Amino acid sequence: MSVTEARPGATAARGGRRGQGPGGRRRLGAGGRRALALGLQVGPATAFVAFFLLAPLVVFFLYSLWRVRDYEIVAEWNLDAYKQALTDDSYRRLLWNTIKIAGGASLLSAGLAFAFAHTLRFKLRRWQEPLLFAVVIAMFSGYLVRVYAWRTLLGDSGIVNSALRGLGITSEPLSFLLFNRGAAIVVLANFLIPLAVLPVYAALQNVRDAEIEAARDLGCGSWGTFWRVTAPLAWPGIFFSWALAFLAAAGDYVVPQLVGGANGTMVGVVITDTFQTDYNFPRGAALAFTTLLVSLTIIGIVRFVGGKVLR
Amino acid sequence: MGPHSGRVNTVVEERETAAGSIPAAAGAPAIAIDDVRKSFGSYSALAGCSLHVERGQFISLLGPSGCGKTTLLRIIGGFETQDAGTVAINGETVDALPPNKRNVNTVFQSYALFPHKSVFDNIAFPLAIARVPKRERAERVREMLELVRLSGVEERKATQLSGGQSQRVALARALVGRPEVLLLDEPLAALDLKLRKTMQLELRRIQEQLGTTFVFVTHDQEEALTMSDRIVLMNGGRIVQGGSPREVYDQPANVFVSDFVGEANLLDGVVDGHVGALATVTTEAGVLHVAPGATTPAAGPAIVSIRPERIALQRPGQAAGEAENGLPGTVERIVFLGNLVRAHVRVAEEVVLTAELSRAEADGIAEGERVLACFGAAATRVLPPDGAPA
Repeated sequence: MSVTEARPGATAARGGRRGQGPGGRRRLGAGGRRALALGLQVGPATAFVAFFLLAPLVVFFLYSLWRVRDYEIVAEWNLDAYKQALTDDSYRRLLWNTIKIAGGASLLSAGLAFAFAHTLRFKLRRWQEPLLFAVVIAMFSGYLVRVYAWRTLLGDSGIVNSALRGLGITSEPLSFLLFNRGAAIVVLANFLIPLAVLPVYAALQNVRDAEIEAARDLGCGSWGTFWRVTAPLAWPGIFFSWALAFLAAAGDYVVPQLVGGANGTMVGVVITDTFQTDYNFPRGAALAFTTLLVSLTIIGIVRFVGGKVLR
Repeated sequence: MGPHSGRVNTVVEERETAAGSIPAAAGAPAIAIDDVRKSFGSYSALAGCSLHVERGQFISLLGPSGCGKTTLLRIIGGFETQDAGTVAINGETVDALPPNKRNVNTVFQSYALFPHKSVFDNIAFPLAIARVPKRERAERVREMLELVRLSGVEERKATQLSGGQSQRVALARALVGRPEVLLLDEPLAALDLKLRKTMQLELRRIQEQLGTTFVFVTHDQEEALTMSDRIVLMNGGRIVQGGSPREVYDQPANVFVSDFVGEANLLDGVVDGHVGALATVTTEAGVLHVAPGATTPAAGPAIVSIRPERIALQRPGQAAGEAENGLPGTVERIVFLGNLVRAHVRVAEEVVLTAELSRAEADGIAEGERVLACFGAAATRVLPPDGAPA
């Protein structure tokens, strides 16, 4: 619509020249109709995102700059919450721990997802559809169910420990299987792999057989072909699947609670507590924004470096 | 089918060895293919092909789609492994070597330029793999761009090129490593007609300039005739005939070649006698006098092939020419082609001959007119009927 309003003369002229069809449409020129179609296409989605995503973000950003007094948020502008998030030792350790866990989980899931997608694309072409379908199903299987499944698998009286004890290999349950950073990484990766497979698979579809054959023809062995052609061409997808996994892992607050244990806790858990138990919205919001900023910085660096290395 | 395919190939190979007038001292042929077979599942793509290509030749593998020409090219390049038979490049058997270990490069039908690299990096790619020093790389890329007559696009991304430019870059990239043999898989198929004609001449110039052996796969007979030293015709997974463009056009070994290379009027008939040095063939359109050749059956069913440009039309009143054959008929249709005129003449109930005439020859001939379709005994080629061994 804006086009019609901004350039009524031009639109009318164009509409006139084209000779509009049946009468009713006469008042809206071709340009106007195009603008209307565009508006109808992207309008609802834009409105949805603006209302349900951007608006709350803006509100929380404002909160992070305000203060809590007697369990009430008051609009007193200050940076205390950010100062605390960045200088307080416990928060810094928490953030660092979060990066380590999210980094480990995202690398693990992106790596396995790449291996899976690569096999699917180049070795198991026949099975692409059923296997991809299985991945999608895995993606929609219950999140909590899977976390608890891991506890059933790895817990003191879980399947692994019972089996070891039954076989007489151990007398005590192996307690390092659960409630630590490693467990959090493995369980998070399990949840993220299906998510990471799809973008990397899509990117590998863009690597054409002819390009791979050309690389072989021009002197590359299998490794050379991989590093010089396959990986650079699939890099956008690899990066996207890793970044998706990293962001999802960095924001998780369920897995660390259920299987993370003492050194497997993450900032998400603390942010939830700050909101729900302390009602300290400014501090919670500041922690969330700090985490987001740190995560995006890391992602940006990876994007830049990866783009330079894989060329 | 199996037993006589071997015989066909032997004939072809003998002809090729005889045609290669390069002295034996010049060493092994650029490519020696010996009884190569390949099946995909139950589909036999190559049913025993043997072929020698001399160094420095421009050779075309010509045939309809599905005839096995691309499969044969991919076996030479190392992208497919044959089920049986051997391939040697410059006398060295390469059957066990992957594509990167063969001194052969390919120009792919889709060009297969690396979309993430610039034109310069695309062309320098094989040099980078071979660890050629940077300065030499730049020098050789510049040389190649000069050779393919494309400069000033070095920094562009491969995706920002037109079809013709991509073609030239793909060619430069395949040649920069100085391969013994260049394989080209229908590289001009995606270009428009005018560009294709230009590139045909360009390819030939480049090949002559470098002296590299070119093996060019195409289904376009005109393209093969334009560029090649030798044309190898393939059909149904077999090599059917090999020879210079003139040979395959003037002396087709069978009906397939005669029909596929150029146009031909094909008349079914029976060889049934002799008049002097000429054989007679009885067809539906009358008795034809033909000059017997290597492919003429001694007696029995045969197919007479006559090129449209070898037929002249005479009006009944005109003085008879020197041609041995004159079939009376009616001009059914005249097609104007600009430089030429094509006339369809019905000479029997079921037989329509196509004659290609110059503008002057066609002058005054109208549709519906009675004419005599004349052609000499030497203008015919008598071929064994379809399905019989050549």
